[in-house]
Amino acid sequence: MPGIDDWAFTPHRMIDRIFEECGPDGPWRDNVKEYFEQELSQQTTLKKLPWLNETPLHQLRPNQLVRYRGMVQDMFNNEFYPDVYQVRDSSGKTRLQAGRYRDITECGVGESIVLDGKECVTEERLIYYCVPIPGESDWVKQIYQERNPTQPEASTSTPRPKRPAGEESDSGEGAATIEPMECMDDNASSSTNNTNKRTKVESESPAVTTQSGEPTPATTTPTSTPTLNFPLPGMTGTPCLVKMYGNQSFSLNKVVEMVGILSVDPALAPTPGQNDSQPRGMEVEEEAVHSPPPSLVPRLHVLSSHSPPHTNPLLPDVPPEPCQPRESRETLRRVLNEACLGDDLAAEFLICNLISSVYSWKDVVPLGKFSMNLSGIRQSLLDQEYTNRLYSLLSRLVTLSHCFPMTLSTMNSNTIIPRKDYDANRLVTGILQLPEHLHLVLDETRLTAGQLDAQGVHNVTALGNLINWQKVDYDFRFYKLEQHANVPVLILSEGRSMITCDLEVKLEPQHTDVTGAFNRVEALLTPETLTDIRTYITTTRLHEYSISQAMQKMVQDEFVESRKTDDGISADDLHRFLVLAKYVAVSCGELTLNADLWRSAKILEQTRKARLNHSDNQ
Amino acid sequence: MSSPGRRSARSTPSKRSDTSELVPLPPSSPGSELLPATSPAPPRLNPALSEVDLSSPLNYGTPSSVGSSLRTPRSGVRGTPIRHRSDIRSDRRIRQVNLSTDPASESAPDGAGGAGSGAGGGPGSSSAPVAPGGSAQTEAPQGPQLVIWGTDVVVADCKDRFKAFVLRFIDTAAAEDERFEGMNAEEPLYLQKLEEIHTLEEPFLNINCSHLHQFDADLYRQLVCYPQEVIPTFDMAINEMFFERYPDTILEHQIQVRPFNADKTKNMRALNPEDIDQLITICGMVIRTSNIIPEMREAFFRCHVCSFTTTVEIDRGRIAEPTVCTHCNTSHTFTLIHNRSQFSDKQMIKLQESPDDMPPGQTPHTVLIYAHNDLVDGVQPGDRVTVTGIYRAVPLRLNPRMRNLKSVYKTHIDVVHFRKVDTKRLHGQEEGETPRFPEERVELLKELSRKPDVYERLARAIAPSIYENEDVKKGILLQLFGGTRKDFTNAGRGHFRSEVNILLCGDPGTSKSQLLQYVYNLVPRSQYTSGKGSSAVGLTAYITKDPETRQMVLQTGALVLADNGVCCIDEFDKMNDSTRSVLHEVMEQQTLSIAKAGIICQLNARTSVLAAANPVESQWNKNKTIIENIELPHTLLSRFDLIFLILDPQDELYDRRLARHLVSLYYRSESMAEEETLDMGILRDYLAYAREYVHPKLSEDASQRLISAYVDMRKVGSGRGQVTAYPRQLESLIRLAEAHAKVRLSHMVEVADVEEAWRLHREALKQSATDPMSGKIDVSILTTGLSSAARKRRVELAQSLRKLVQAKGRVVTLNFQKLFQELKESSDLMITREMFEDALRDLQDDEFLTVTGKSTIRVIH
Repeated sequence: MPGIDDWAFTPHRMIDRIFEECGPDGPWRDNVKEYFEQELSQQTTLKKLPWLNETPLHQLRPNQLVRYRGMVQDMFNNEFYPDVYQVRDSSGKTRLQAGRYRDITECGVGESIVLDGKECVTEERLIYYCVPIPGESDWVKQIYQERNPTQPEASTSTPRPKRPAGEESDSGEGAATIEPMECMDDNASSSTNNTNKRTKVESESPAVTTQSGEPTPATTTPTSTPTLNFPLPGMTGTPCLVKMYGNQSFSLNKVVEMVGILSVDPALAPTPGQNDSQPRGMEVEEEAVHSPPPSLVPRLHVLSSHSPPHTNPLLPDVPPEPCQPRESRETLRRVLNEACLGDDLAAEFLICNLISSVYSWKDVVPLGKFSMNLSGIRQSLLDQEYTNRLYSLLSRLVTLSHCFPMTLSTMNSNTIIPRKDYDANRLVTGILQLPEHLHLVLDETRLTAGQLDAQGVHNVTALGNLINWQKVDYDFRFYKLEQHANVPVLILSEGRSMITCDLEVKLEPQHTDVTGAFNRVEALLTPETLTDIRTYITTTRLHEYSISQAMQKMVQDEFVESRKTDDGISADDLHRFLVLAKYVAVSCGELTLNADLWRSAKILEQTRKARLNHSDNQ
Repeated sequence: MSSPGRRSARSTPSKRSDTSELVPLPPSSPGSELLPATSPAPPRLNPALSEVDLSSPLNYGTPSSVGSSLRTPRSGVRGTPIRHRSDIRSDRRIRQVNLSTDPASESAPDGAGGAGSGAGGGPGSSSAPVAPGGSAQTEAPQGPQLVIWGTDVVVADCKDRFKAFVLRFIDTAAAEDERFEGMNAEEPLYLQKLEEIHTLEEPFLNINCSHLHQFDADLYRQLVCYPQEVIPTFDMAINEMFFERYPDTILEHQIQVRPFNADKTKNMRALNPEDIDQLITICGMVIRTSNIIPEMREAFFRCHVCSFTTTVEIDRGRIAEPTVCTHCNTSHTFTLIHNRSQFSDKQMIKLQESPDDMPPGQTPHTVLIYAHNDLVDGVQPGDRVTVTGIYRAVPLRLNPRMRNLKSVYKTHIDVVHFRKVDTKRLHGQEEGETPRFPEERVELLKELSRKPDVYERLARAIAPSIYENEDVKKGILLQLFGGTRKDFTNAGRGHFRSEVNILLCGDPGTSKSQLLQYVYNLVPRSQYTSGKGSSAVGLTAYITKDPETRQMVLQTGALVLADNGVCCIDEFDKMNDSTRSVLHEVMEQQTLSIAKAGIICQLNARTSVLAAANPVESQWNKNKTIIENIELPHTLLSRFDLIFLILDPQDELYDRRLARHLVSLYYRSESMAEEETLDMGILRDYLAYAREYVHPKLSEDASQRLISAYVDMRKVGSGRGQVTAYPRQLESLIRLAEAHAKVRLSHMVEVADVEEAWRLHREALKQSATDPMSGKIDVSILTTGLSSAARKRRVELAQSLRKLVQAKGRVVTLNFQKLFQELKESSDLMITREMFEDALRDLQDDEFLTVTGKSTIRVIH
């Protein structure tokens, strides 16, 4: 693929060419953007670009084009950089160079860089700190892994040529390889100062080997995630400092897919004690965070980016209508029925929970949230690790999920709310910094008797806010910054959960043979059914929905009628009915509510209530 | 670059330039003869080096180079040294270019035009200059047009215009914190300030850029675009003026001009490369300050061999160590003497975007600020400040010896002026920040205020997702506007609170929490707490030990944090009594006294309280009073201006409309709802505008109406010999009326406002203070916790008990239980044990009997 090679491996050469063609005052910025966007709009060529998430850094060439998907975890200050700069050679002649999409302004031997010349242009770019998508299920990762194009270098060059042909990558190669020590050394010897590099490498090498030496999830076990700021414990992968040009911007916690130029020049790492004469005082911690070694956190100069409406690799961005929603629903219901140990009602509600999503905000009230408390998980089931099995099943169905065991120690010790660290000037993440549509499972059965300390109470409040208002108050020390969330929550508990949520479903298992049940689930889950269910959940969630005039009237009448009796439904109940009806309708692939669906929703809700009252009376 | 050695002109022009350098003083400057006829600057180190070093007319002397200092009027400055301004980097070389010649040739004689003499007479054609920036030169005097290189600033011209500004600018509407003692609004403002400097000997002159803009827009533009050149020019001018007026004054150092309020007041987010090296004003919150960093400004060197000393100024962060001793001609003999070098203070400050300026879904930006000299330690973390300074960008060098650069600039602001937003908030009467509104916005708000139904409109805009409850929303609206703050400190009564407190009480599921959440989201500086989880300290303040400094630190709680805002307290009934008791002070005196761990203080807590409570039996019991239903101490209840009951009306029409409202939420038809209601932004601006600019006063009619309303209220109960309304109720009536006038943006409270306040007050009372027995409205329920009927019953019971005991004759002790039984039998009313105990207590108060122990009653005859 010669055509691809050209712009995919040495994009800077392409940019320089366009820059020369248009001239520094010409529309070269637009042309570059246009050129790459056009190339990248073709799915076939796009597919040939490697995923930075799935490819170890050492298999990638510096300055090549890569794809990356991640969540915006933090936003740093905008960066000013020379968009156009002058290079003066030894004879005093100057020429102009484009500094866009680069971290390093370069010049040849005997030349010097002029930044304050007349024709120089300073521009700004946005800097986002992106982490791999939190809670991404293994099956999603696997699909991406399978689709990731194999790298030509990976096969041909285990002893990789130290200097790739392209002159652009002249000084930028050799970022992180299998043996970072050796590589860095090699690079250092080519530059002028050896000693500083060496000390730096020594101090960093352990981290380098564990973190990015082999970023494949199976082998890496980073316990010191805080340095990389991953929201969820046990997360692996490559974070990325993303630099955005032009008017692109995303909001916090958005999942973004992008294509950009990989930049891993080791010179980007902070070099302690070298900064000339600048009093550094409070800058030290900040520097460490804002310019981490590129072997750990590569830089990405984004050429094109978008925020996909869902994170399911099985579907294109605009998913087609589900072909046979009712059948898929039936399959899912059967699976969940087994998983709920034969409890049909719980399975029905679980379907609604899985496809729920906040679709709109009415001033402070999130509409469409459907948090659910599955109570009645008895000790006998817990002994058989019921909650773990249930969660692992759910994580195989949805694209993003996380299980938070609410033990006393996790509640008391962890700060789950993201907070601003003013020393390092960054947002220190917490478990509650979550992307949209992540399915959060709270395992309350782990909670033992004991006392919650101040931190614990704080955390419970935060969880309550997330569940009931779908918002998280990020802690900025001097004030709170409210962030909206869109996270369906499922609480597993023995009794009623300590956090009130939209509805409680009491599990009534028909049998207690957990192992048997999950074996049957396993049998049901053939690859085809899995694909079917996974696409079903994603497409259903994005479904449009409306209520016809006639139905509105019917619902209103019913409400007014029922209010006449003493034991009528309250406004809150009506809210619940309407949400439930929506999800029942949508899960059946219906675009509008009809009387049958309304009735079945009502029956579901009444059965649920009756069951709760029944158990209360016992 | 003001080192004497390098100050000199390029060697190319003749001596002439040197001489002209030495007579930079304006002829007008009195006492210029006092200037010692200094020799030309100390020997040049290397004339060849100075090739490009055009002398700067703005060069700042340092104490050591005072003798040769050329620009500022040395004349009257006896003893007043020049203070180096690291904030504007006046040490950078500034070149002047004669516009009439080719700028590239740079052959202009420097210094000539420097101090306004214009006598230098360059290769002088007086042809009309074509300055890049245009108009500045058009009215310029004859002579060579010397502009500072890279700008269109003509020093002499600039100085003259600034002087004119100082002499002639009269400010008519000075902001609160700009005023000073004895200011006369008719006199030129800045001349008064000069006098103030003379009196106080504080050599700083703050210049409000908006004044300058008003007076001379072009000069203002130059100031904003070329602060580095223009500010020193201003300094020169102001010093000349000052010492002309007060020749004998000795100041600590020469006056420094500190401009502020540059019109380019920007959101931090909007800073972009175009702002580099310009004067900007941004606001934000200080989040971090560094220790003081001593920065070497001038290095002192001594020759080993001959002990000859010399000083070298820092140029762009570097010291050029002199290699050859000019005295004994030995090489490499100089050593740096640290304790004779000059240092200046410097501090790094991190400023963060204030949360109000931030678009949703973004994290706040920060910007690094360097404070120099006197501005060091001027601000503390947590302060909200407006910073005026020069925006800088410095390329980040990877490694001095490497060719390639990291293609990033580091940016910071060299601050020239801090304006603390908080100062007013802490000491004054007014709101914290002064919200600024563009003209169009104000017009929009005013137009809105003229609509006849503005009150209803705004009320409807509050929590549109919550159905009906119009009166509650109106009440909350009035709370958001608040009354007028009245100060009777002089009369010895202190402040009257202007904040309106509201209690919502009602059945569960009537969206009380949603209302609270809405208010919390609407009002800046509001707090949301739940009574269940709050402790007294969480509401007020607590003392912790800082882990790092091991010092006691006062951490403020929700009520203090909500100063000037609204404190929303959910589940008010579930709060424990001791916690609730701290609210007493806050809700009336609007302060919070703390005496903990050796810290005794009183904090401001001018917060409105919006509380929500559930009835004790979780469902409202119609047969009980509000006191019995919510079991809150009446001392606290009386502090609420409005108590609303939110009850399920159980009415078909209501149900139907509610159902329609709810259903409409669940299908997508945003279009219809949107246009009807105001969006939150407008409401917020409207509130801010009204709170800031509208302070209604009572009109004569309105006060008459208030009096009659109050008299009516008191009359209601007086027939039965009971007081039904207390002054506190009158106060809340006034507050509500004022708030209602604010809604119309009216500066006068009129009768209609009082009527509405009266209506709302009654409406709220009707629900909350209706005596369940008599069905009448009775304010005393709120103030004593008992309805007058109940009180009457209590008195009657005590009477009959007294009769019963007296009927027994000369008995000394009675059995408690037995007496209770007898009383029950004798009365035809149902008598509870509590009622009996109350009656006993009453009699005990009358010293008729005493209860001794648990079961015996001793009768005192």
